[in-house]
Amino acid sequence: MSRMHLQRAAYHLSLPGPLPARHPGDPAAALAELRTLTAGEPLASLRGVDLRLDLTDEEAGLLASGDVAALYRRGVHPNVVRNFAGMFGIDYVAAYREAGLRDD
Amino acid sequence: MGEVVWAACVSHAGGQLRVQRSEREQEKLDRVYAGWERLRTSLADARPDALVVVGNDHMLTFSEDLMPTFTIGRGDAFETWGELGNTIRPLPGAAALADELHGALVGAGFDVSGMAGMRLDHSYACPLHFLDPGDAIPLVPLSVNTFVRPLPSFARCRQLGIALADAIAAQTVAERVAVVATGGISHWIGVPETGRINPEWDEWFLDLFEAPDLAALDGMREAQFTAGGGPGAGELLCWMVALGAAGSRGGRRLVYEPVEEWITGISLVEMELT
Repeated sequence: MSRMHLQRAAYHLSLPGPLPARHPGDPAAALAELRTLTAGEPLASLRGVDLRLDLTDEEAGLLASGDVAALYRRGVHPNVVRNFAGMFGIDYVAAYREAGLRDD
Repeated sequence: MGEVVWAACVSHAGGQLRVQRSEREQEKLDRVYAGWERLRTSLADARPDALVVVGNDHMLTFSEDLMPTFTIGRGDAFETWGELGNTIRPLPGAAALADELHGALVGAGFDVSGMAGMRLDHSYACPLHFLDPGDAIPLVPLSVNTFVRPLPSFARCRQLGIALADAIAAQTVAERVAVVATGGISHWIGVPETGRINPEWDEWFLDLFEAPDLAALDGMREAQFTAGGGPGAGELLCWMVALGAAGSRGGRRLVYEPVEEWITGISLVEMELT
């Protein structure tokens, strides 16, 4: 729905901790669990922090497939892309090269 | 009354922990590690009661949902994230000093946030691995936003450092306080140019910083340091805080090496004190 929600989802998926640890190399499964965790009350309103993830199917697909080049092109912060890639064992430099973002 | 008894600016690339052997660059790596040992000894000789670590979060503790410009970590312990070759470990906090500095900085017009138990990434954990291997010195982490616009200016960060030195002098809970700023120099991470280093720009910046050329440093603009040193050069905002805290007298580089294995222009600078 917006860059903010895409960014927020990528950020939460990129944090070291139990969520990615339960789904090594599987961002689709991690995203599915994250969406479940953040969908309901009271977690979504915890401490007044907005944790909702309002993602389109296409945006969810980019995260689930680990398409880091597309995430970068959509404006996800480079540090978050790097962290997300590292968390799921994705070579983001190779992905950027394959997507035409770098020419070496 | 407290005083700043030691200050330095250091790179914090996590590769320094992950990649310690290199067929192509071992001599460079060894010179960097030798520089760390000299700094570790010099810090120990200064006998600090506490260490203010000026670092920056890499979108772990903070995110675009909340990225405060300046944040002091409060409390008597801080857990590390354990990313990029660091271990997850508790680091001791100088809680009373943090509260004193927080109040004094806000009183001086710097609207610094305070965060209890702020979790620390490699910006803090990596340099501390080398400077204080036993995790014995209580810390006050001071986080600067170096990655998410709007960034503070170079001049504002040096002024924060000056206010920090005043705050250290005014408090009575820690007599001898050390300050280390971490980050830089040139590196491109997470972007298509990932891996690039710009040694010419690094040398130019180090010359300004050592002198110091305060007019040039205070006037540095985001477009200028990003073009020359990449997004990672924003971490030099932390260096400006240490420069101000040490009296704006410049420093002396112990080492500079553009290390491809660590995809960063690495430098360690010990500051001249007032």
